[in-house]
Amino acid sequence: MYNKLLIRQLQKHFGKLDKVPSSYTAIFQAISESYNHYEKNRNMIERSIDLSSNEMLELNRKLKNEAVEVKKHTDNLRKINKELDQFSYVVSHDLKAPLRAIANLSEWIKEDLGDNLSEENKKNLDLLQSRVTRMQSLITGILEYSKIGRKQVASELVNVNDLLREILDFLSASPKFSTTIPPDLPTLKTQKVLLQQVFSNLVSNAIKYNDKEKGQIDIFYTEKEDCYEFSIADNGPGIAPEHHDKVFDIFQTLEAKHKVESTGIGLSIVKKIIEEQGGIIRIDSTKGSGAKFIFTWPKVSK
Amino acid sequence: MTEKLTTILLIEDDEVDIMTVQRAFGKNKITNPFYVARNGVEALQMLRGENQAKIIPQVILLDINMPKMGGLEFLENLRADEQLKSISVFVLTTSAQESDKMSAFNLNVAGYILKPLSFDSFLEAVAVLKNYWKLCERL
Repeated sequence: MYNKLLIRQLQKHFGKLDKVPSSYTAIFQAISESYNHYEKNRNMIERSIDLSSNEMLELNRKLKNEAVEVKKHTDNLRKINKELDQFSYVVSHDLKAPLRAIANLSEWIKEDLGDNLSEENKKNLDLLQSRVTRMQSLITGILEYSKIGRKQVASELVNVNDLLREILDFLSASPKFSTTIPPDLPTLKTQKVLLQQVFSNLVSNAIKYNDKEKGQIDIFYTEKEDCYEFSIADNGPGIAPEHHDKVFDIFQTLEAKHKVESTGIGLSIVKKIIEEQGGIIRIDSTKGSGAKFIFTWPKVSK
Repeated sequence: MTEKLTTILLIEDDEVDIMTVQRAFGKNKITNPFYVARNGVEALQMLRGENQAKIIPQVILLDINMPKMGGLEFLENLRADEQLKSISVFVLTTSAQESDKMSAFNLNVAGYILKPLSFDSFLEAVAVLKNYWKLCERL
């Protein structure tokens, strides 16, 4: 039997099927075959179109759901950011106020008692005040850390040579230290305060932890294709490789906190700033042979 | 020369911060008439003489964060009051927040002093304040 579509066409043409000349049977048989074939293909294609349009609908629905999710997340992030702002404010105000009170009250006790204060009491009061000062630096540090990346600072042209000289003059006032700066330092367009914070922290660490009679701080610089690479090398006690990651963690110090006055925030600020810019920082050091902090500063910041 | 001593009103809720100001005044040998209000509401009552003798200070030292009525809200009320709007106000606060500073200067304050951690730094700040009203007393 012929294909239904072909039968209809033949009926239209010949009136009745039996009027079709028998000499054509073989040809129509072949045509019918190809009609069948065609129909089969068409059905298949239609089915797959149906299927894919269903899939499309499904995908569309998923996308819409995801858009809702994304919006929810964004709103949530916004809320968290606002809370963080609020938190910084609470930290800066509400924590500093009682701290100031403690600082003042202890000073007045010391002042009012004057000579009546025993040596031991005086020492304890001094200790108390130095801990208050540390707490103050901790609060300031936390605030600084939380501010990175949230406050947009305008870029300006920064002459790295001038910047480094300023920092070194300011920090290494003691004649114990000699420093070298490479002659070919670049002038770059960047957020000055951030680069300054990075250099200041690294240089002041190099000074603070130095244990040699003659301290040495050397700055190195190479220009790479898409970034500048700076290194700050010192001849201090060095850092054992197993501590290289740890020193960047917040509140992490290698020495007991009272031995060298530090909060453990400096290097985490440095790392956060550099990573916000799209650069990286690493340490080249072994225990006992000085430390070299190497960081990249992209030519175009993130 | 007869100097008329400047009357000073401190608006501050923290006990120790009040003591800090008093102590710093003592150290700087400041003997001006000195009053304390614990918040903005109390201060406005004093300035308007509600249920008490009216106090007319030439200088107000004002904290920002206080219960009932904070410093900025107090300033708004002060500047809106014909009788009181010309009083010199120095903000004395821990809030380094830019928005607080801007709001304060928009309300025409004479100075914005951040409460320092150390008492010595506060003494210096008070010495500067003293110079300011000494100058006003001579005018």
